[in-house]
Amino acid sequence: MTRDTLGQSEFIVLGVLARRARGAHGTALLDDLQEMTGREWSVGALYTTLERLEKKGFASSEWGEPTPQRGGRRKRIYQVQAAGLRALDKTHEMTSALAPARAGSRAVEA
Amino acid sequence: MDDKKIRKNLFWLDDKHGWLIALEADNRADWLRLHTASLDETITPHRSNPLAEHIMPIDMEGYWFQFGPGKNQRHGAGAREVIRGKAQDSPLLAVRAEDAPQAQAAHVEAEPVSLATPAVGETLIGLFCSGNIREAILGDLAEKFEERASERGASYARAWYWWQVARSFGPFAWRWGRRLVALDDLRQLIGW
Repeated sequence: MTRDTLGQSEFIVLGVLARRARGAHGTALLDDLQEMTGREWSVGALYTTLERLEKKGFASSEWGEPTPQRGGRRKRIYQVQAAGLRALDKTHEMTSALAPARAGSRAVEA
Repeated sequence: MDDKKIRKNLFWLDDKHGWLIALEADNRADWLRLHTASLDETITPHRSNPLAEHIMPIDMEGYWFQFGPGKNQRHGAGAREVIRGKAQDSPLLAVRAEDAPQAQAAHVEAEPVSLATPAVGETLIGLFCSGNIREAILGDLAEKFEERASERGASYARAWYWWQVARSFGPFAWRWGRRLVALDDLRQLIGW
C-alpha cells in the first residue's frame, strides 16, 4: 500500500474526522465511530490510528482546554488536513474501482 | 477525575414509605452530577430486604433522593413533608431517621462511594502511551467514565473502564512491536 492511500481503520477514522469541520477530540470521535460502525472502539485503537495519520501528514492536532469532567486534563483536538482529504478520495476511488471486479467474480460463481 | 466522595445516610422509614437516602455533596451541582452513580452501590448492600426488590426512584427534592417501596404504591405525603421541611433549612446530616415521624428503625450509615477512575487502569494506560497523547487518552477515558457512571452507575463505569484498558493493550503493544522491528532494521543497517 502506498503512503497516499489508507488502511481500513485509517480510512474510517479519517472519514469520521473529515465530517467534523472544526475538528474533534477523542470522546467525540469515539461516539461518531460507534454510530458509524455499530461497535464501540477502544481508545487504544483510536489513538494509535490518529498517531499514524498525523505522522503521514493526513491529520494535525493541538491542545484544547482542560475540563473538570476530564480530571483537569486537556483535550487533544484533531483536524483533517488537505493531504488527508486527497488520501480519502484516492482510497475511495481505489475501493470503488474494485467493485466491478467483485461483481464479475459473483457472475463467475453463478 | 478527583476522588469525589459522596456522604450519605440511608434511612428506613416504614413499609409504606420505604427507604430515604440522603446524599451530601459540597454543592447542588456536584450532588446532581454524582447522585445517580451512587444509587446502585447504595441499594445493593440492602438487597436482602424483601422490599428492596421493589425499590425504585420516585422523587427528588432538593438534596434528597427518596425510594418508594413499589411501583403501585404512592409515595406518602408524610415522608414528602419531612423531606421538604428538612431539606429547606437544615444541613443534610442533621436530619436523622428518628426525627421523621414514620421512622421505625435506626438509620443505616452507608460506606462512602469513590467515583474516581481506577488508578491501576490509569497507570497501565500511562505505561503504554507516549507522553504527548497520555494526557488526552486519560482525559477522554475520565470523561467517558463519568458519562457511563451517571447513566448506568459506578460499577458499570468501572467495568467499562477496565474493558477499555484491556482492549487498548493490543493496539499499543502492536505499536511498540513495530517500533522495535524498525529499531532492529536500523541496527542491522548500520552494522551495530
